[in-house]
Amino acid sequence: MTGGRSLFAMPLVVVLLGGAILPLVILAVISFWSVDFDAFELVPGFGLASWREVLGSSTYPTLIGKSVLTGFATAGLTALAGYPVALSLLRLPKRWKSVALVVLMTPLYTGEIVRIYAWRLVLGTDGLVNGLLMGLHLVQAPLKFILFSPVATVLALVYDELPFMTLALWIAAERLDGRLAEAARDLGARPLTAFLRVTLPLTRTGLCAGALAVFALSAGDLQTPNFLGGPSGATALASIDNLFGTAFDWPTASALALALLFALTVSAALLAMAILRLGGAVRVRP
Amino acid sequence: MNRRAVVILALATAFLYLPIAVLAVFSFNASRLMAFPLSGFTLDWYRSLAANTKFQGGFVTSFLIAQPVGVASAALGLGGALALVSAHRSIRIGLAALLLMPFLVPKTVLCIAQSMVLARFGLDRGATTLIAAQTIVAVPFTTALIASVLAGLDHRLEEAARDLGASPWVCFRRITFPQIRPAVSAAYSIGVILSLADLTIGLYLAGRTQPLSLIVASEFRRELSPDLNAMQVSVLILTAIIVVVTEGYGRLRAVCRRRTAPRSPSLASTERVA
Amino acid sequence: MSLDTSPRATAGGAPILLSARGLVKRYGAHPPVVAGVDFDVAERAFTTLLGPSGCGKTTILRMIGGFERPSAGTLTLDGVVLGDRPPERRPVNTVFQSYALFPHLSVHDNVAFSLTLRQGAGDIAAKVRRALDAVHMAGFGDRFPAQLSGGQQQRVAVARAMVAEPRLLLLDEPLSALDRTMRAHLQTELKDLQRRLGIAFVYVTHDQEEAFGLSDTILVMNGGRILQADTPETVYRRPASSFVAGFIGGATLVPGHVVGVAPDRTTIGTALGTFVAPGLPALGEGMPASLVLRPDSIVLRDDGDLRAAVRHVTFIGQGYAVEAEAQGQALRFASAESPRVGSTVPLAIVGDRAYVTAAA
Repeated sequence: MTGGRSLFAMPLVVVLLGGAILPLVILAVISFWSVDFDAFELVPGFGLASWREVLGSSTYPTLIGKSVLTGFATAGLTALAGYPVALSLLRLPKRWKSVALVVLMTPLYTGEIVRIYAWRLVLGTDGLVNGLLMGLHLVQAPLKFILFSPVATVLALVYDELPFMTLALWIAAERLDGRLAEAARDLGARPLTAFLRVTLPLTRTGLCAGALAVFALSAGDLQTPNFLGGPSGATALASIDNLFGTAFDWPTASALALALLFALTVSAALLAMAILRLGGAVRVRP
Repeated sequence: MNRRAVVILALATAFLYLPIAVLAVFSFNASRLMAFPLSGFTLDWYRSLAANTKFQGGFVTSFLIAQPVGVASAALGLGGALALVSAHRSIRIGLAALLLMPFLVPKTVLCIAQSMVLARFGLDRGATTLIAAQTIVAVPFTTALIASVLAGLDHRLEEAARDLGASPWVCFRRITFPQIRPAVSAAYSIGVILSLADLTIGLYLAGRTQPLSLIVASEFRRELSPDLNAMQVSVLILTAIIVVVTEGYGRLRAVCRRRTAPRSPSLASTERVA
Repeated sequence: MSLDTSPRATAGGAPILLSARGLVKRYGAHPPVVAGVDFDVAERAFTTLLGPSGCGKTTILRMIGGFERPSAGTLTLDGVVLGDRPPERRPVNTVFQSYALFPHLSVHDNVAFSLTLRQGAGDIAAKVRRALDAVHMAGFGDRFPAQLSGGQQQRVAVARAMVAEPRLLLLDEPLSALDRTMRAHLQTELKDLQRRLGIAFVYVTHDQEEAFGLSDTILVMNGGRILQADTPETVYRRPASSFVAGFIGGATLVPGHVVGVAPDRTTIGTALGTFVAPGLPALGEGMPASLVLRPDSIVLRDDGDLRAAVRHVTFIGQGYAVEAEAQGQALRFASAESPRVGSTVPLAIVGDRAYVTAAA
């Protein structure tokens, strides 16, 4: 009976092969083609021109690096913010936990565009933050550098991904025996030491899952930097979009997309390896 | 529950709901300028929203697109989850890797690649392609959700059913499915929500179809206006209603079932099916 | 806080290590879990908190360990009020129920944990080796907790808690997860270890046999209060109330009223007759009371003036446990021979081995 059920996955497999794998394969094929800009037509073939353009330029590798950095920064900040929240959620009485889950996940139901829009209201020249600062007479004129800056982008990304990270850490921490942290305290560890040497290594699978999800989602977000980042909002994804839509340079768009995918995959793998090694950092072997 | 935990949770809740609260406050603010201090209470923006047929059309389109996405992603996810829980190790790993693709590949890249395929094969973009693409993005979530519930089921119940003479299909319909029904309806909600929340996929694959998020994004590029606030709040409330109704419906049925057969809800549901 | 924090001594003469005064723990509006208790723990002594589940004994242990903050009252260790000190700043270590060994660390690293946290811990490897030796776990250092049996995990938990040489070791039902033979075996080992180390132990259990086998002092608890604090012999022979007498199993309680009080002798009138036995000093004439009879307080004797019908006879190795009934009162006693079930036998009560205690 167990083997027979794998057939139920056939529709899903067909959809994913046709809708996700095939497009990526086509993307790879097109990256070796060229464009006849006079006839405005794709020319099939095998050339490395588009790859040379992507890897040889100074802008594209920088943009790819920026995506990776954005992903790392968001993953790190959500972990820093998510751990205290997840560990506090642990202490809730049982019947409050299902309420907390709804409270945590509901902001995810708001649309991409709604969240971006709301952050503009919060961070803008006449927004909440400036209103508050001026109301308290901390500043004389509204701060204009908050919105349309990397700060706004990262803040909105942290906001978008925090529920994912918190959920992953919370699930991992629930599986942890609460007495282990108490035992560490009992044996002389201060709260931070107990966290670093017991809680962190024992929740590292949750941290790894959360960090991978946050990394992928934030490094792969085009709209947030686009709408909130201002001049700093140029991303590899925006370039891909431009090359594809405006410039009709599909081969270069494809090559850049694949280069980005490769860089993200390698970075994600390194991130996962670094997190999973956390447990090995506390050996005291003589 | 110590005080530090309470403070942390309060701060986290405030952060998560701050943008939504600001949106809601401005939707009732009696000024075209979205600036502090506030200028007084008004329902004008909701009135102008009620008169705006473009927005209403967009919402109806979004809602109609979201339904098939919810159904399809729940159905595909159910099949995938059944395989994921019971198949051989190698199949499981392959399936999991396949499911991770649409999650890990940036949506923009995936949509551009899909657009290239459609263009190469001379296919038009429209509601169908939008539904298909949104379903692909939703299935990793729905499959994981249903699989996590399936994995927690007691295998001995199925074995007992088979032992008592149930065929695999009857066993699934009368023993397994009743136990995962809440997860399947939650999967449907997730599909609907992800579809309503989407902007990126719509930008590439909607064709001439105009879901609400696209209309908002194009308005938004031009200017911020308070009736947009009112609309965002309305969309949020409608989304919440959809969630509450689907979840609440499932819960209500569970309660009714428990009332008709106080001793064993699962037996009651099998009687009803039989 | 006008507490006398100078070194004192218990009745036995050993200096006091830990003392609790007016200790209360309350959660919200519920009745307090610990309702104001006072007790002392002597240096080098084995002290046991004994009581049914939910009586507040584990809560007291967690307050000593620093995991719960008392709602009122003070704990003084070595003349220093513990107050809000966090667990890591108390010279006290805990052996947790089901052990709480760190699953990601080897046995060696678990035991070394506390030593790696302090400056100048000296030769960590040697200390760990000595601690593992002491609990007969030498050679298991490279294993991980999941690879150990329950008894072995318990030993590692003890080694981990004692390696830093705490002033006081707290043990929360450390044997409850083990089977019967392993429990008996480890009980002897624990007592041995405690004598050799000379560390004071505070031990929590609901098992009276364990408490009797291990303790110098037993604190019997119920409903958040300490009902009696005495040596095992005194708790057994001179229970401070009917609850204490009944909780320490095997007792027969005969209800009645005090009819006479003399120095060292209390007279109680019951449905079975009037008996003279040692009694609780607080009892006065006319007060309701209970006569506590242990299995050896009742003897089968031809000249006995109690007539009882034999209901059950159980073979228990050294003899027989007999349950008989006289005037509707069940009587449990030990006998060398087996009386016939259904027969009527003459019984006598040995006043010296009986006790008159408070009714409630």
